[in-house]
Amino acid sequence: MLNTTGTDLREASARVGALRANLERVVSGKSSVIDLAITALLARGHLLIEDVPGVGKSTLAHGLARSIDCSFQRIQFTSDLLPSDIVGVTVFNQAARAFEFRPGPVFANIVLADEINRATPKTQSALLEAMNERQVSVDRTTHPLPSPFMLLATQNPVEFSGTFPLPESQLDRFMVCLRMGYPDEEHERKIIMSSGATTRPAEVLRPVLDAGDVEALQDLSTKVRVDEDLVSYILSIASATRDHGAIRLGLSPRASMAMYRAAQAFALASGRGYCVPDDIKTLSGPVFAHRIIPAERALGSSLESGIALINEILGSVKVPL
Amino acid sequence: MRFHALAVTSIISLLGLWAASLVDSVGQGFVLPLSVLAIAGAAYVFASKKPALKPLFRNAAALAAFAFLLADLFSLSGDVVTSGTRFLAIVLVLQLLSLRSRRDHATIYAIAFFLVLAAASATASPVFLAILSLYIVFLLWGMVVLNLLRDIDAYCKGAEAPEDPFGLPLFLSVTGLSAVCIVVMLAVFFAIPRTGVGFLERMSGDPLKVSGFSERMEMDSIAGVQLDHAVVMRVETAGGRPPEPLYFRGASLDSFDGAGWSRRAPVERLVSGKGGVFTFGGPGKRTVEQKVWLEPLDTEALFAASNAYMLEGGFRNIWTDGSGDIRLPSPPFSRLEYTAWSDVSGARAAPPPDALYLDISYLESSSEGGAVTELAGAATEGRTSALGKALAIEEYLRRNYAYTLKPQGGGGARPLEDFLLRTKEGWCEHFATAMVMMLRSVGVPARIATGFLEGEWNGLGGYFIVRRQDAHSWVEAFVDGQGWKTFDPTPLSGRAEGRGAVFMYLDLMRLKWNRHIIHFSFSDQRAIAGALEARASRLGNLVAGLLPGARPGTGAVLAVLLAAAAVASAAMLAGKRARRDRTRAKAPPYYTEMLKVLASKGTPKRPEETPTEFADRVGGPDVAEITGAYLRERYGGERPAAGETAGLQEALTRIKWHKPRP
Repeated sequence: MLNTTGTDLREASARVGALRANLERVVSGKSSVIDLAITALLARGHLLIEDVPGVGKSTLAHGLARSIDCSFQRIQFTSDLLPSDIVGVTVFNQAARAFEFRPGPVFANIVLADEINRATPKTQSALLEAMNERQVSVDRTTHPLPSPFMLLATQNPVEFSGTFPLPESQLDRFMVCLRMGYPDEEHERKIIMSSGATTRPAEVLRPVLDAGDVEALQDLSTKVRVDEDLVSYILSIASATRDHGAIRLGLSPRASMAMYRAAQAFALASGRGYCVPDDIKTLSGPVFAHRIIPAERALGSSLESGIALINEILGSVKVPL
Repeated sequence: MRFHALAVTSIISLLGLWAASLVDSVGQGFVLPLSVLAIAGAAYVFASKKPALKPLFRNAAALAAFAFLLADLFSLSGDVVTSGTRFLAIVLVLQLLSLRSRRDHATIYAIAFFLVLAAASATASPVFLAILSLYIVFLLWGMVVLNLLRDIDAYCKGAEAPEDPFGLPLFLSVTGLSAVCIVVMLAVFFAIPRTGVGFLERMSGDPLKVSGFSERMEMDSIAGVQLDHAVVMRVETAGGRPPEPLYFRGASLDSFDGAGWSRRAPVERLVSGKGGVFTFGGPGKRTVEQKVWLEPLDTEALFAASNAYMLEGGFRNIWTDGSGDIRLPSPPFSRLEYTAWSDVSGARAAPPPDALYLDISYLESSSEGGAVTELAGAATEGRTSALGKALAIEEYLRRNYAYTLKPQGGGGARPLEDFLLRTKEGWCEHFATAMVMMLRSVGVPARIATGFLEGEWNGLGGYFIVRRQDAHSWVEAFVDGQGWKTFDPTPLSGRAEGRGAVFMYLDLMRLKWNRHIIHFSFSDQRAIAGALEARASRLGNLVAGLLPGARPGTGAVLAVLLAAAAVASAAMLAGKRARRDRTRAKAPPYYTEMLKVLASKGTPKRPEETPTEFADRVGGPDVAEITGAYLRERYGGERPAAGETAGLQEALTRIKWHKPRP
């Protein structure tokens, strides 16, 4: 159990606060998005950002990577990208007269997979093992990925020509799926005014955490207290999606598990050593919406209708007192 | 932990010994040393934590006790209950001194049970009630303790056993619950009036049908029930079985129309009893007191031996008349219990029947014509007194006529003539009718009495068992100077069949059940209350005697005891509250209270709303403060500090009265 009154929590709060402040410098006016990104990081989850180009998806990913003193790789997904372009290849070393493995760009602490839906399903699925097992198997050899490992993927929900929408199995592996949304006028003005200084706003950031700090925070988050009744609350939301008429595919147990972990991380990110019902309610959209398949599937992304359905369910499930 | 088992077993042992002391023949002198031994042994076991007796010695002693039992049974007391109780008491103490396993504890409970049982059969003391109640209470607690010990032994092998599973709350709840049950049971037993017959039985509307005790008796009527073994009543006579045969008289009939009897003389008087006692005359020379348990009959007649002069029962008022009939205003349809006093001396002064009555009697006799008069004249030849004539006719009928229950072939319009002149056999109605008509034809006033013979004597319980087959009719003739005398012209038949001891015993049990349980009367309740009061005052005097100086009254002692009890329970409660305060949640009560207050003000929390959402919707720092403290404690397990609690109380008060935060 987390020592909620002790130094653990205070230190964690300080570190998370620094990270948040750092991110807010580059992604202004998006505190909830930042919180969700931190949540995914602390919960050892992966983050899918679904939005139109130019709202700061890459900036957020860069900012996160820059704030942590760790390796960062960016992969631009295209339709001709091959799996080996991601995970790496085995080449014959003439000098050593032996095969050796050349790690691909996925071997980094933070990987940004830009426009992930532009790659072929084959390439997309190459990421599957990396995301889930945190390891890569090439030619019957398993190569562990560095720790911490976090994948940030972006996709454009509007432009569909030449895209391969992510399959459910892969969507399920993203702990959090969020929309950036347009900034409000004031923040947009600020963004424009500050754009002159550098081309990459994230370049200016100094790391506030190192990989060890992140791992410590991740370990700490598993000790956050979750009341029995909150687990019941998660389960009743999950079972409500399974019985819902307008939902073709409800939430999997992996989804409930992801919510549990996300709630713990969210509570820690909020400076608490325990979860409250609000954590789950707040996280339900980002954690659950992309995992359900509405009965009437809209063309392209179903995130909108998923969010609407989850909200509807939240309005009917009783919150534990 | 084992302390509890030993304590409760010791208490149960002492209760068993106390019960044994109630069996008078066992003797206090026998039980007292055993009790001292038991207490000393228990104290030794407490202190040394090991049994006082080795098994070998225990077995040897038990064998000796068995030898003592045999000697006791065959030479000393010769009584099973006494010798058995003594033996069990000895074994109980031996067992207590050599307690080893849980089974030994259970054995003691069983032995104590048998001692209580023995006391139940041997005493009527109200102390027994206390012993039984305490036994039940402690038996339950003992069972709980034993079972918990067994479970602890089974599941905590090697592991650390719980410190003390038998806390005061468990003890209080178990014993309190059983005590409440006993009290309620006794209260119901004492307070609820018993109706004598079960509710359903009463509603079934099927009381014993016996005719002839009220308005009219056909000559063939009683024979119809002659073979019915159903018990109509049980009559306990004070002072054992009276030497003279008793006739339990229900009614008298005086008007004969040739086929049956009816009543002419009207029921005269409504008598209201004083305290349930009805008096119809002074006591006689030889009085028989009868306690009657009358089963439901469809007659209002109350049965008692002839010449009843006093009656006590739970009735409001009864009817009576000069003929000695006693009847209720209406048939009771329930089991009755009453006591009657009858003068059985056979010589009871009574006013002669008035002229009108005699007129009727003579008038009625004429219908049978000369044959009856002729027979009567022959039978009473040479007799001048009324008594002599009556005895002569009684003798004549007994000798010359035969008793039978077989219906007569004739069945004609004149059953009396058929009986007297042709068949010469019949049953009691025929004999009694013939005698009455013959007496009347020779100028002696006579009437028929109906009721029951005394039935079967149950020597075990000292009472008569009267059945329907004992229904009978006989003759009452007026003899100058001796009043109405009873004559029975019916020859004795061999109808009384002996019954085995088992039947008698079972019937006695039934009577006791009726007596002590069903008809546990108000006077019994009063008697027990009186006995308890006497005992209580004795106890008060005893306690008062122990105190130095002046002897305070019972009231003062009670006051001191009550005050001590109050102080003790207050201390206990305070300790309990302190304990509870340490463990009880602090903030959640404030939160639920706040929800209640806000709901009453029109802003209830919606079920799908989280506490924070609700706090945001309601707004205000007070709500946020209470919600925050609530969430911290409810989900974080962080208790608010002492000072914080006061702040929560203030916040709640402000929310209640819409006050702004200072």
